Amino acid sequence: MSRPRILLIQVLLVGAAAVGALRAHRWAAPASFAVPSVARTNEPPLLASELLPSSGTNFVHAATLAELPNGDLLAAWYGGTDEIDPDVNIFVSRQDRRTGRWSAPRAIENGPRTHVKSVGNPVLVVDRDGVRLFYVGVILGGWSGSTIFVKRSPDGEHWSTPRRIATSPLLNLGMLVRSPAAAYNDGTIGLPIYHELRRKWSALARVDGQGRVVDEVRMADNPFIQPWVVPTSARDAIAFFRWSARAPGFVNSATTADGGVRWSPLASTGLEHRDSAVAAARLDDGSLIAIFNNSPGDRRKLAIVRKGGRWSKPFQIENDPRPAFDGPTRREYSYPFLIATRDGRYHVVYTWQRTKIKHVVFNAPWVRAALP
Amino acid sequence: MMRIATLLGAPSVTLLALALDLLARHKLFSRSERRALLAFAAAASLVLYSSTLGYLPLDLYRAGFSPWAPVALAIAAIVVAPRSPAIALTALIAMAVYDIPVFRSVNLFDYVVDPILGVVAVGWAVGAGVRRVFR
Repeated sequence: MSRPRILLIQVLLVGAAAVGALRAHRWAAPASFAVPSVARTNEPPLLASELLPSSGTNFVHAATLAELPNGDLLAAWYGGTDEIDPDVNIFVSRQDRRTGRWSAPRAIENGPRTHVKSVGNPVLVVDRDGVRLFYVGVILGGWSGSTIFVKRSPDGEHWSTPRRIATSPLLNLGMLVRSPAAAYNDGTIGLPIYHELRRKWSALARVDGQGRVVDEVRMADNPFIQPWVVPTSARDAIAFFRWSARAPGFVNSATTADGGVRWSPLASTGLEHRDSAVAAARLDDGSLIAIFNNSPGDRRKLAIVRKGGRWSKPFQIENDPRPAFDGPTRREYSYPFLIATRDGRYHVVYTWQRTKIKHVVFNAPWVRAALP
Repeated sequence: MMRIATLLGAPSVTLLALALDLLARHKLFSRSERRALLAFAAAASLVLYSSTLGYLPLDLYRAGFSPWAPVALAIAAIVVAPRSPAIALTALIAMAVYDIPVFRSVNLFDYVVDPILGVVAVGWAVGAGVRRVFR
């Protein structure tokens, strides 16, 4: 090739690098969390629960919850014959703010499913552009052969076709979601993700409004998965991790002081469990609450604890003394998903015996009374 | 078939360039350029995918989001351009496609290497190593 042509290629390389670097630079600066203000409530202590309407499936699991702009709650979960079966769908149900009634669950991921084998772990995200539903699609084998998809909806009723989001270079496999996103002030979100192909690790993926991952930061390595991020200021956040090993272990936590760009080494919270999901939120007084299975052997106990200086004694939301497995019955109360709503209440949905989704609502006065 | 398409995703520009070279009966790259590309792809794939699987204590994929990634690739391509203009041109096309961006990813690695290329390149490297040992 002649020298002028080589020179032209070199000049174009400089230009292409400049364009790419400028675009990447936009996302390279640390972002600030859009920390939702925690409303103070003058209500008397409140603790109430209900079972959500059945989706008519043998099995349900991994519920998620979000507050819509009008104050309605939108819940989603997956259900079917069993995990990773081809008939599994994602169901949504909406609670009317005024009547408190939940709508009949509706399957929204039930098209001709040629692109994935099964689905699971929905995560609802509400932002200024509407509602996004991130979920896991199993492509090969089990959960370790899955990838993350996203659907959009302007109103929680009408949903787009799914799009795959790119979170890993290795066939985009082994990637899962399960925990709520932390919003950034620039309109991107920090979506906690985790990897289960061969070795486990957790990361925070920064996702823009078009569903593109613009940065991805590792948070923890094997065996810690399902990070649950609680922003505490524009720059600070704490993340809790599920101990995912066969032997009992402890919920671990890590902190960031730069909007999630760097995470501290893990530290044990002292909350003992075994391979089960954790949820957390911040109270109006700055203390933290966490919900987890405080039984090192199984998931028959589900507890809420509060951290001021140190963790309080647990309050048992569920405590079932009967055998965990009893014929077809699975006494499991797991996968809590916790949100704070604008009226100062806290809502948690979780798997109830793998056949129903249970909804528990409480407020800060109840937490202070029950978990001094 | 749909699931395989979902699984494989988009090929990298390097893989497309090597495939095009194969179809053009090796008229695009010289033998040494082809070897250099395959050696680069083999090394990059081994490190990148080992890191992704959690076997290395570093997260190489994150570097592909950095503003320095296109700068580093451009410097490398500018340096090799006088001797291997076809490789520099491949890097230029990869960066142009990344700049648009054509795929859903904004990570430069997704435009430069992919798992199929990794398998081909590592297979070639192993074969070349074995041939050298038994020659």
